[in-house]
Amino acid sequence: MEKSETTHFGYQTVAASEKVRKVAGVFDSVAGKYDLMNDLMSLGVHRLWKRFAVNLTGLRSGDRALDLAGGTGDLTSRMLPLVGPKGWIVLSDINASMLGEGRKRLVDQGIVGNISYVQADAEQLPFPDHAFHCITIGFGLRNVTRKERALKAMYRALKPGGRVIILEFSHPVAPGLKPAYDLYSFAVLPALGQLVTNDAASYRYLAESIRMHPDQETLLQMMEAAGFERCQYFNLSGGIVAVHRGYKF
Amino acid sequence: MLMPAVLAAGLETALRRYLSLDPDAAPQLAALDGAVIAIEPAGLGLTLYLFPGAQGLRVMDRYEGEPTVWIRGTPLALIQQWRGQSVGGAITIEGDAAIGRQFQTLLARLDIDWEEQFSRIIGDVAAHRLSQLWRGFHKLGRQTSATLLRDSGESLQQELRALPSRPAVESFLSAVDTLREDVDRLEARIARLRRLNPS
Repeated sequence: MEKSETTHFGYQTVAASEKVRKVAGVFDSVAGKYDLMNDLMSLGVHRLWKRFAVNLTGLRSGDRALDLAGGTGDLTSRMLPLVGPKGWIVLSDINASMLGEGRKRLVDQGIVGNISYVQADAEQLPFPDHAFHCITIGFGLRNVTRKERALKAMYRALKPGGRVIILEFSHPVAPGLKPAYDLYSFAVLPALGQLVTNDAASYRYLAESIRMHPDQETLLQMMEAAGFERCQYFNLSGGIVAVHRGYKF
Repeated sequence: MLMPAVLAAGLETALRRYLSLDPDAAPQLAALDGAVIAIEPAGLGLTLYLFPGAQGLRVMDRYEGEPTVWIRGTPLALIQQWRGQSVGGAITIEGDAAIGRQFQTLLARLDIDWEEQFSRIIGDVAAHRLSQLWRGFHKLGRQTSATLLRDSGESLQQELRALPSRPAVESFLSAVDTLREDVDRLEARIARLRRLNPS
């Protein structure tokens, strides 16, 4: 898939270079109401998923972390107390609207100081080797065009002993959940998107891109191929979401 | 798998809301920035980590670093202490005890103006009436419990003679103290005489 010049954008096949632009379009459109939509779509459960992912980071006082595709800064604001005033967090997103929204939100919460904002492409991280104790990517890997490249870039930027935490929609494993989930994703989500953000297409893309995203085992293998060790995943809410963790040794 | 996270999230929301009701709590929390307070209620198999800071309070159910202070006790003892009641040795504090104490004092001393909070919902006049009513009940309750305590004490001491009176206990305790001091003095005297006359 990566060698060809085409990739998926939801169920469509598009040129690799076009995916970036199309994904940017989606997020530019939803940035302002992103949090509200997350709460509505997941009935607030996304906060628990994020909380669980941050629990797995193992961050401690003085550590450095990179929150990739950090969007509105949910993971960052949860990780900051863990690293404390001596630590440092870089909030990064490829999309300027989302990053701006995140910065605005964190500043409004009074979170300033040991945090930097970097607009960067996850496939080509502008950080030195062995820079972070932990890299998180929450609901972002799905939108990355070349996931293998992004995983390799994360591996490079991690310190030896550091870990990557990937929080992403995945494939339901709980019996009987799939039909209900499909109905919800393809009927309810676009309608909700239309109602709140006046943009059903972006939420149709969300549902489609979740289906096209590699399942739990495939992503685990991709992580191992990128060099991560002791890779493991945790299914949340019956596999609707999974958290993958891998170490660099 | 998400249960501890649910618990931590619930506690965080409750504590944040509770703390936000006292305007003096924010600077006190900010003063504790960087501290990690681990609370381990006995018997629950769960540890909660509290991260106070300028942005308020965060609660996590997992932390792999070393907490600044550990507070352990039965759930009941922990709740009683937060409500400002003395629980004696039922709680142990390990690590930076000063931080632990500062945090406990912060929770125990929260001074919430309930009348003001109610007035935002039901208006000033109604809130004032409600709070007067509440204070009346509270006073009555306090008086009743004090009277009950005094009466039952009197009945046990004076009528049933099951318990000694306070002056009797005090005089007994002071007699014990005098005896102990006398014995100490005697012991010192014997030791001194032995030194003077070793044979």
